[in-house]
Amino acid sequence: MRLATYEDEEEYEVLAELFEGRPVPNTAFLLLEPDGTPMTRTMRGPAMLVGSEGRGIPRWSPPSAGVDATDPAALATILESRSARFPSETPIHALPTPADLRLALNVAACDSQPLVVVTATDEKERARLRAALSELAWSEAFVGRAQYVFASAGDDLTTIAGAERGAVLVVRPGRFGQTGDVVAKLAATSSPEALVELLGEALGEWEPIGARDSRQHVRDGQRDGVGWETRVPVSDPNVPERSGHGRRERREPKDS
Amino acid sequence: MIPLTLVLALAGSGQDAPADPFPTAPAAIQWFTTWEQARAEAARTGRPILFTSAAPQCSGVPGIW
Repeated sequence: MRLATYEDEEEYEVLAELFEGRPVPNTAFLLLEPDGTPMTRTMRGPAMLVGSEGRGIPRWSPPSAGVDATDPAALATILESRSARFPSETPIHALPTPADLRLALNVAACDSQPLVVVTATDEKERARLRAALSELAWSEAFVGRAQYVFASAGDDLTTIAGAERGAVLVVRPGRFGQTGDVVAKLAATSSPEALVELLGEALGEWEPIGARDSRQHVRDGQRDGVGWETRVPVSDPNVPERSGHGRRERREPKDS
Repeated sequence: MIPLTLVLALAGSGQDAPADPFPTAPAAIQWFTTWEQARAEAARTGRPILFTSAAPQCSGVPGIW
């Protein structure tokens, strides 16, 4: 899972508990057993996923010295060995969807990926589409290439040019994730086969969003007055206080 | 479903990989995005969880991690 830090009160509390009273930083990494029991210590970087020289992971034997957690192949090897304790042939089929359109658009922009937005309002239609999109999302052709969200009545569709209710939209997020453009759409009543065709065409014609320089992105955003209000005040001690990023009180560390 | 490990391995390799059907929309990790959803699916499938969290804004500017 990848949560959006500071965007949900309950998830912030989960992070606070995982960090055991330490300030919750912008980023977090750890491994969990299927029942949610931590397998590693929670840290702001991925090093503890593989351990580091001289330090082991609780309940696991120390990893090879010099393993680089930022190397995909090395991380994959470590994750495979960790997950070997939990063999499972049960396929994943739940459709990952964020809490709301506003956050979904921002995250899709961060990842430079298309966002499939379901604006159907009928509950039966939404359930049918969820099942169809779930199958599509986890298929070999499409897994990891798009993101999905079900818009609710309270979501502001005016931020997406070409959006309409009662449809399935493929949206190209704007640079700052606060606007978007519909690049393809279908009626909400469309068949699963039509949805496959919709996403296939959209991905086939997808214009890549080029690599970005984060400092330039921030400078341009600040110059243009683009801002983001987090749902929960930022508590990362490395982030300077600024408007809209009030600090949470520091928690007292738990007694060990 | 492409296993996570294969996705990660392919991300770091360029050899002997099959042709990408959508080269301008490369595959990344299909993340679960809420704690509840991920926990439920992990419990149902018996799979462990790679847990990460990141802020979708930098210095108050969205659109970048």
